[in-house]
Amino acid sequence: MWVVIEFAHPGFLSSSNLTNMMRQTSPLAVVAFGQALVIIGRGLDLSVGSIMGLVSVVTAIVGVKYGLAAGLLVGIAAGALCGAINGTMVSVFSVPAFVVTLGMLSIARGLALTITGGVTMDVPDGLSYFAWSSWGPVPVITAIVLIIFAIGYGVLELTAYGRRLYATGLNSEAARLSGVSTGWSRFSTFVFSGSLAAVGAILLSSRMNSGNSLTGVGYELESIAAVVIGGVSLRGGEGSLLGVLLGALFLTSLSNGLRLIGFSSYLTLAVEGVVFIAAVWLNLRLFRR
Amino acid sequence: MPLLTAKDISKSFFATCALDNVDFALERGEIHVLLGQNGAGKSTLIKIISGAIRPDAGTITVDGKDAEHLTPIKSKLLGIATIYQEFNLIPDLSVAENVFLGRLPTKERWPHPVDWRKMRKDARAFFEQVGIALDPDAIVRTLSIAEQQLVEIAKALSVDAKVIILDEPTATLTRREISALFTLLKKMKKRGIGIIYISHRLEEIEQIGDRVTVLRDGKLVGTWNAGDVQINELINAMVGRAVDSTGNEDIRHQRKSDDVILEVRNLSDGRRIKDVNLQLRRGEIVGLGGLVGAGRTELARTLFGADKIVAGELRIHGNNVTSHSCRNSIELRIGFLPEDRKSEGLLLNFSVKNNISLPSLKHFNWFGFMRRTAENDAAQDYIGKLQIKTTGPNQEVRLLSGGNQQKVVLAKWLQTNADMLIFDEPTRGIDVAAKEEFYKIILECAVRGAAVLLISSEVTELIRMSDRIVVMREGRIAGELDRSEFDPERLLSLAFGQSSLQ
Amino acid sequence: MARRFNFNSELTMAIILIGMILLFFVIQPSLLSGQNLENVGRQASVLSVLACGQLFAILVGGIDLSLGSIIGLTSVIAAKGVLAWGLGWGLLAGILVGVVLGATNGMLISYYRMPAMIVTLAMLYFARGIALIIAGGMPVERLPSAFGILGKGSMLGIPNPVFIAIAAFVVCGFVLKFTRLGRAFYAIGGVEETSYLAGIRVERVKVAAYALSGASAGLAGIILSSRLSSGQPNLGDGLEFEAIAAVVIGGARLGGGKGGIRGTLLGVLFLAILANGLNLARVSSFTQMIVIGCVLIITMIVDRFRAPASRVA
Repeated sequence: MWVVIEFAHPGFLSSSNLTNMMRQTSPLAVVAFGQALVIIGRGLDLSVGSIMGLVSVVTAIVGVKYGLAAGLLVGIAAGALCGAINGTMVSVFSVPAFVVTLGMLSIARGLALTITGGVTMDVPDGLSYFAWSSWGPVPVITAIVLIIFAIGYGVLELTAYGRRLYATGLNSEAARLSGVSTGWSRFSTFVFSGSLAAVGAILLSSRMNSGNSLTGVGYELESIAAVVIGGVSLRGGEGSLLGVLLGALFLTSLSNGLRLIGFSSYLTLAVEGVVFIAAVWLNLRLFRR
Repeated sequence: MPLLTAKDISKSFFATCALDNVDFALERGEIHVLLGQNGAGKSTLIKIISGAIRPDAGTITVDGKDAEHLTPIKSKLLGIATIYQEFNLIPDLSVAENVFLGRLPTKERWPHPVDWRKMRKDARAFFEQVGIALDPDAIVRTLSIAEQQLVEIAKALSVDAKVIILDEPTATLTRREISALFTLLKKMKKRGIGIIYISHRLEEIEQIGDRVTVLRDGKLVGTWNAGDVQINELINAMVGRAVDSTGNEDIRHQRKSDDVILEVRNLSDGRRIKDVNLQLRRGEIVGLGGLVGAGRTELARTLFGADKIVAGELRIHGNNVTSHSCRNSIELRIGFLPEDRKSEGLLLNFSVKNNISLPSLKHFNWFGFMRRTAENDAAQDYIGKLQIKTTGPNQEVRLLSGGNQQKVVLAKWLQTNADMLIFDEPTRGIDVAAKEEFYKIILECAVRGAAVLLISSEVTELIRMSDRIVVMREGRIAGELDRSEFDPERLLSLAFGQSSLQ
Repeated sequence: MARRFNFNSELTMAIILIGMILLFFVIQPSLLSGQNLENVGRQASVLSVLACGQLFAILVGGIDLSLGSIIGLTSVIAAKGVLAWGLGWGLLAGILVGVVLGATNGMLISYYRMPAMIVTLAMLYFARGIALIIAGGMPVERLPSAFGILGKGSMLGIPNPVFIAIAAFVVCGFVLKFTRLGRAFYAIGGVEETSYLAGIRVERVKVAAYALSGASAGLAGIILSSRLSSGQPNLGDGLEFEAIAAVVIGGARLGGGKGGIRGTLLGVLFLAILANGLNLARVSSFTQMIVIGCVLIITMIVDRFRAPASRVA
C-alpha cells in the first residue's frame, strides 16, 4: 500500500532492510491478529503488551530450567490464562473490557517485574532459532507469521466460529436471538488474544535473545493501530486479517522509513500518535452505521 | 384563536404513510384527548408538534405565530413541553436540580456560585403554588414513577409552558396517584395551559377530557366535545370499516389438531407479565392482541427464552422446560421474529444466506468449517419458495425492502425446521401487496403443521388471520375470543379494560 | 432521607481505610512516624492533583489516558521555560501545556465524536514523543534552586505539595458543587441528551472538562519536576492509571454522572497508604503493581453488584 511513499529514501528497499523489516513486523503482526479478533467481537484488549512481558519472562525461566519446548508451552499457556481471566471478567461479570484489560495490564506487568526483579533473564538455548534462521529463502519468523495468518484467516472466513464472532460483534442482541452464544465468542477472543500475544512475545524475545520483563511496552497501542489501519471497524463485526497484516507492515515500514530518513525515535513516537488518530478518524467515518 | 394549530400535516416514512393531511387544534385551558389504535399516527403527530420530527407537509402555529422548522429546543422556547413515558430526567441529580437544569440560580457576587438555598426555596415555593408535593432535595432515582412524572410536569411548568403534551401519563400509576394527577391537570387548565393528552384508558375521557380527536391509519376521523360522544362511537371511529374474516374456512378445519406444542401455566417474568396461561396447538394460528405496553412482546420473548422466567411452568412438546434460553428454543424448534426486525431479527450487514444459516450453523458445519455450497443452495431454495426479491444469496440484507427482509427472517426459522413460530408485529412497515403475500405465507406455515403465535396491533389483521385471539392487558391475559365471537369492539374493550359498553 | 446517596459506600471506604492503616501500623509502626507521614504526603499530593483532573474526565463519561505523558511534557517545557524566561513564566508555560493538550483531547472527543479512550491513548504517545524530542532524550538540568521550593519545601512542617493538593481538592470540590460548569459535568455524565435539551452546551463543557484534566496534569508535572529539580521527559509514566484507580475506588462511575471529591480523596488516600504500607513491609514495587491491578478489577466487580436498580421509566 503506502509503502510506495517510502520510496523517498533509497536503501529502504534493499533486500537486507526488507528482511529486517519482515522480522520486525512479525511480533506486531501476530499480536495484532489477536487484537483483531477481540475488536471484531466488539471488545478491546489493553493488556497485550504486559502479557508479552510476562510471557517473555516465564518462557525464559522455564526454558532454561526444563528445555525450550517446555518453556514455549508454559509461555503460551500463561498468555492463554491471562486471556481467559480477561474473557471471564468481560463475559461473566460484564465488566467493561477496557477496565479489565487495564487492570490486567498492571497485573501482568507487575508479575513480570516481580519475578525478575527487573533483571533481564537468560534465555534457553535454541530460542534464537525462530528469529534468525531460515527455511530456504524464507525466514522462520516470517513463516510462522504467515502460518498463523493463514489459520486465522481460514478460521474467520470459513468456519462457523468465525461466523458467530462476526455476528456477535455486529449486533450481539440479534446474534443472541439467533442462537449464538455471544458470551463464549467474546471469551474465546480474549483467550486467543492472550495466546497470540504470547507467541508474539516469544518471537520478540527470540530476536532480542533475552527474556525481558519490559518486552511489549507500547504494543497495546501499536496492535490497535495496526488493526484499525487494517480496516477493522472499532464497532465490531467487520474486517479481515489480511488488512491487519498490511496494517502491521505499514506501521513498521513507517517507523523504519522515518528512522532511515533521520527522524529520531522520539519523533516517530509522536508521529505514530498522529497517524493513529487519523486512522481512527477515518475508521469511524467509513464505518458509520 | 386557538393556542396551537396543526394544519394539513403529512408525514411518510419510506413507503408507509404515517400521517395524511391531519388537522388538529388545541384551545387555551383545554384538555384535548388524542385517541387511536397503535400505529394510527398519534406519536408521529406529537413528535412533529414537539419538533422531534419534521413533517413532509403542513404548518404549525403557536399563538397565531407560524412555527417553522421546529426543533426540540425551538419548540421548548415556544412553550411546548412534552412528557413521554420514558422520562427526560437525570436520575442521580436532585428534583430541584432537574427542574432547574441548565439554569441553576447563582449568587450575585463573583465567582457566582450556585445558590442551592435559593434553588431549594424557589422549588418549594413553586411546588406549593402549583400543588405538587415533592421534596426538592430528593434524588430522582429514588422516586416512584408517579413522583418522577410530577418532576417532569414541574419542569415544564417552571419554564412557563403553554402547551403540555402527555403521552400515556396514567399507564403506570395507582388510582390515588391518578386522581392527584387529575387535580393538578385541572389546576393547570385554570391557568390557561393547553394539554394534549394521549391515553388508552377510555374512561378517562369522561373524567378529564374536554375534547377528543380520533386518528385512524394516519387520517383524522373526527373531533368531538367529550360530552357529546359515546365510548362505543369512539371505538367505532378507531377501528373503522367492517372486517372481513371470511375465507380459508376449509383449510382451517383441516388444520385443527389437538397436539399441544407449547403450553404455559402461571407464567411470570418478574417484570411485566404475570400469571399467564396459554396453549398453542399444531396448525393453529393464535392471535395475541392488546395495547402497546400490555406485555405481548415480553411474553413472546419469555416463551422464546430471550428473557428469564421467574415463576410458572413451560412445557414444549410435552416436556417440562427448566432452564430456557434462545439456543434451547432453537433446539426445540421454536422460531421468533422480533418486532424490530432490523436491529433484532437480522444482521443488516450480513448477506441473505448468512442470515438464513445463522441459527442452523450446526447443520452446515463440517468439522468446524462451513459448507458454503450447501449454505448457498439453502438460501437459493428459500429465495424461490418465499419469493424473496433479491439479487442473490450474497446480497446484504440491509438493501432489501421491509417485506423481503421479513421473508429472510422467516426463511431463517424455516431452515431450522421450526414447528412453533412467534411473529411479533410481522407486517409493520410493509406495504399492502407484501402484506398479502405474507399472510399467505403464514397460513401456509400453519397448514404445514406449525403452531403460530401472531402478535399484532392491527385489529383487522388479527381478525382475518387468527383461529382464536387472546388479549393481554397490563401483563395479564384479559380474555380470549374464539373465531365465532370475533368482534372489533369486544377486542378493543378487552384491550382497554372496559368491562361493559354502552 | 438518603440525600447523599454515596454516603454508605464512602463510609465503607473510610472504614476500610482505617482498617488498612491499623493493619500496616501493626506490621510496621513507623507508618505513623512524622518522617513517613511527610513522605506519604508528598507522594499522595501528586496523585491527588491528578485524580481531581481524572475525575472531571470520568464524570462527563470519558477518561483521560494521556495524563502521565502530559506530566512528562509539562516537566520538560516548564524546566526549559524557567531557564529561558524565568520562574514565573516557566511554570505558567508548563500549566498551559496541560491545558492546551487537554483541550485538544476534548475537542477531538466532543466535536469529532471520537472515543475518549482512543483519543487520549494516542495523545499519550504523542505527548511522550514530543517531550522526548524537546528534551533531546535527556533531563533538563541546572535549574534555579527556587524551582525546587514547590516540591521539596515545607511550611509549618507540612510539605508544600500537600498544601497544593489540599487547595486542589478544595477548588475542584467547589467547582463540582457550586459552579454551573461543575453541575453540567454531572448532568452530561448522567444523560447527555437531556442536558442538551435543557440548553447545556454539551460540547463546550466536555472540552472544559478535558482541559481542566490536562491542567491538573500540568500542575502535577510541576510538583514532580520541582521535587527532582529537573525537567524529565519520562516523568509520570503510568500515573494516569493510578489516577483512574483512585477515582474508581472512590466511587465514581465509569459511565459518568456519579462521583465526587470526597470519594476521590478517599481513593487517593487508600492507594497512597497501600503503597506506603507495602513499601514499609518490604513488598517490591513490582508486586504493588499487581496489587493495584487486582484492586481495580475487584472494585469494578463490586461496583456492578452495588449499583441500585433504577426506577426511572
